[in-house]
Order: sequence, then structure tokens, then C-alpha cells
Amino acid sequence: MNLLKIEWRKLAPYRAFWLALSAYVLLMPALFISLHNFNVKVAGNELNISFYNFPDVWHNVAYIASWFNILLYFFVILLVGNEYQYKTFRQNIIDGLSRTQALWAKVLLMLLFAVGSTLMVAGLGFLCGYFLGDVSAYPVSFEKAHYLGLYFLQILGYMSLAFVVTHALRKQGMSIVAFLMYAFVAEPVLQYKVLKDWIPLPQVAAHLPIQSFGKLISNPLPAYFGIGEPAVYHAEAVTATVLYIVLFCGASYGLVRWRDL
Amino acid sequence: MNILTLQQLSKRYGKFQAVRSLDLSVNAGEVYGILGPNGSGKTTTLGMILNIIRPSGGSYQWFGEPENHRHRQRIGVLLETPNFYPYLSAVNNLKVVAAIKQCSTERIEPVLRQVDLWGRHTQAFKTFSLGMRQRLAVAAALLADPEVLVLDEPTNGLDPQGIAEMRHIIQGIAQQGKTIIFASHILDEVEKICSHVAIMKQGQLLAAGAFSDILQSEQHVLLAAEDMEKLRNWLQTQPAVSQVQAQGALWRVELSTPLSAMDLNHQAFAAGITLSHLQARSTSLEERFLALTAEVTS
Repeated sequence: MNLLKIEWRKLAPYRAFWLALSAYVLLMPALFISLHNFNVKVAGNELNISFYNFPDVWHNVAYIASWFNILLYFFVILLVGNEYQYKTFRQNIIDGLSRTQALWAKVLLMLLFAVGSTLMVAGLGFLCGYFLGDVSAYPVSFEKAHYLGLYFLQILGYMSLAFVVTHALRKQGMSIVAFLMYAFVAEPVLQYKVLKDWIPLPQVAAHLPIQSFGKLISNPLPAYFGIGEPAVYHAEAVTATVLYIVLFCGASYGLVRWRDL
Repeated sequence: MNILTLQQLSKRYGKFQAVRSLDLSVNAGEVYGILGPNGSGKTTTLGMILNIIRPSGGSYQWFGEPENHRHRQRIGVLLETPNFYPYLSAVNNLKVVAAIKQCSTERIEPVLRQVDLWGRHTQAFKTFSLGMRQRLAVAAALLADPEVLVLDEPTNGLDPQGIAEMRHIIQGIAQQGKTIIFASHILDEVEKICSHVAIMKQGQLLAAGAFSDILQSEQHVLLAAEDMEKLRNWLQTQPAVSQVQAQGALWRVELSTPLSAMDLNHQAFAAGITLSHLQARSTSLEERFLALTAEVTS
């Protein structure tokens, strides 16, 4: 509990953080609610798609929310990178934290973010389903509410990736560049079959972190247009994500435990 | 009571041996100076006992117990560069320190007043000058009313007024009977403050103990007379004289027992020697320090 008190005293007066957080808290629901006016005309006919009907609303809200994961990733880079940049990580140890405690304080903070964000998405999904969906045809149902759990895992996965990258590189700018290069260049390139004659890269690449996290919540849109069913819940993506979270947090622990600060 | 013990503490960076098998013991109430030129391993040693640098060998004990983060909550630390959250005010930075040290926030106002920063307590750390930052670091070090203070070159980079203020603050703390471990390359600074001293060079401990035993100050006298040979012969018969050497046109005379210039002049005159030059000097600590550290290099 004292660890959260320490983190709170660092964050409470930190304006930049609260600005970024309120952007997250306002924009994500705004985007989902704005889908109310979403309409597609095919050959002059309106399709009248509603994203808010139970139980699909759980899947849809989790999918839209996952677009904002990059913000959570940046929060982690910001908060962990600050500690290295200001050398306050070192100072906290000198002042009397153990290395393990200093790490735990940030892990707790990430868990708090993940819980808070999941609760927000759950509330948003329920309210949209109840007030904007067609409740008479689609009564309140929690059938697909497991997408909330998948969402929780997904953001924890992203944040633990940010965590280990920032601990390894210790610089915010470099951590952001490294993440963008990896997520949007390195992993997608590995998905292509350009190298398949030598090694079965795509099979390996399909289980890399960003791919695994992405597979947790598939794109629900194709189903609405009748072009393919939404991919179902992947047990292997869940397993991979849990393993990655443990691996990334474990590696961060190793870095903090054994390195000179 | 034993405050800090180092046993064979070592740090190696690749091929470079920064600290070699250091043994040291600091007892309660001592003001212990760690003296050595830049790069002699002082900061590395302090880094190791504060758990921010991992030793390659050996061990250390605070308060007679193996390493534990709770020890550091009882230690006030002041390093060369103050590390704080730039966006937090002086008070909010100290609140973070208080939470880590698990002490109350009630002492924040008095320590900020003590270092003369209360007037700016709501301003962000990033607006502070180097002198103010260093004073905030002093306030943070004193916040938990620690039993032990660890200081690393606390006057580095300060202007003369800042240096004087910093020394004043440290001397004030030393007078309260706290144990202080103080690293510096400035002999003069150590001499003014410390009761004990450890001298390091190239990661090695050259000498350690009470200041007066290690860097004892001795007197010597420079003399001349019309007949220099006669003067030397007479000097060699005197019991208080331990050594006579030429220094330019003068005799440099080491005295084994203190003898005032006036007494020496009287006795020489009684022996029929009129001194044309008489100058009493104490061997500077600087010379002794340089002599001690030069031995390793050769």
C-alpha cells in the first residue's frame, strides 16, 4: 500500500500525465458513441448497422478500445522513462526502497491502469448496449462479456512490453522509436512470406507479441457486412499473451535486480 | 556502536578495477572522510554501500546487519548531483522522500527553513538554481532525522558562497553528534570537518584511522646564520632537533618536540650564534597527502 502512496505522490501533481489521461478517458468513449451515426449505403440501400446490440456490444467496445492501447503504452514509457531520465529510480533506492519494491510499485500502477481501463470499457459497453442498442430485440446479455477479460489481458500485454523496453533502453525517445519500429515494421515484415524458402518465419511470426495481443480481440466488422465470421476466441493467443506478460515482467525484474543503476 | 563495515569490497568494470578489496569500519559519532583524487573509487564505494552499484566481490554491513533496504531509510544521503522530479515542487518532492523513508511529513517545513528554501517551497524543482537544488538535497537528507549521513563531494560545482553555506550546514550537523561519511578530493574540506580519514588511490585503501594519526602535522623551522657549518654542528647537538637538511641557502630543521621560535633563538644566541633567518612552519597536510598518494604510483 505504501508503494501506491509513493506513486500517488509522484503523479498527483503531474499535470502532463493528467492531461494525457483525460484525453484517453474522453476520446475513447467519444469514438465509440460516435459510431451511433455510422451508416453504410450499398447500392442505394442503407444497411442500418447497430454496433450496440447485446451481446455483440461487448466485442465491439473492446475492439474500439483496443485502438487506444498505444496511449497506455506511452503512459508506461512516460512514467518509467521519467524515473531513469531524472535518475529518481536511483534516488528512490538510495532513499530506502529495495529494487524489488521500486519495480513492484510500477507493476501495481500498470495493474491499476488495466483494471481502471477495463472497468471503463465495461461501463461504456453496458451503457451503450442499454441505451443505444435495441434492447427489445436484443435483451441485456453477458454472453460475450469475456471480451472484457481478453481486453484486460491485451492492455496488460502491451504495457508489459512497454515496461521491458523502457527498462532495457532507459530513454523515452528511444523506447518509443523502438516500439514503433517493432510493432509497425519488424513484425509485419516477418508476416510476409518473403523468406519462407529458408525458414518458416510466418509460423514463428504469428506468435510474436503484437500478433498474439491483436488476435485476442478480432475485428468484428467483416461479420456485419457478411464477409466472414468474426474470428473466435483463440486459446493459443491467451496462452501466448500470459506467457509474454510473465516473460516481460520477469525480464524487467532481472534488469532492475542485477544492473548498476 | 558499529555503523558501517566493509569487507573486501570490490568493483570491477571489465578489465578496470575501480575498487580493490576495501576493508573499512566506521563507528557511531565519527566524522569519517574518504579522501582521494578524482577517479580513486570514492563514488563507486559509496554507490555500492547504497545499493545502486552491485559489488563484484566482498560485502558490507550497515548497523552490523546484512544489506536491507530499511537501513537506507535511516541514512541521509547527499550526492554530487541532486535527483528530484523536476515537475514537482520542493514540498511535493520531499513528500515522495517521506513516503519512501516512511517518516512523517511534519518535518518538511522545518528542514526547508533550515536550508533557507521555505520561501520557494511551492515552486517546481526545475526552476531552482544549482545552489538551491543542492540545498533541497540537504533538506531531503535531513528529512528523516537520520542517524548517519553519507555525503559525496557536496560542494562540487557550487560558487564560493554556496561552498561556504554547504560547509556551515555540514559542520552544524557534525556538531549534533551524527555519524558522517564524507567523500571528497579536497583535503582542506576534510581537514576542517573530519575526525577520521581513509585515503584512497586507484581503488586502493592507502591508510585509514584517526585524522591526527594519518595526517599528523609536524613543525619545521628554516634557519640561517653567518657561519652555516657552525650552525649545523650546534643544531645536531640539540635534543629537540631530529633532522637537519639543506633547503636552498637555509637549513630546514625538523623538530621532534615543539620548540618555539623564540626559545630556539635564545638558545642559539647563548651558544654564540646569531641567526640571520628564522622561520617556523608546519608541514602542510597537502605535502603529506601527496607524499602518501605518490608512493602507490611509483
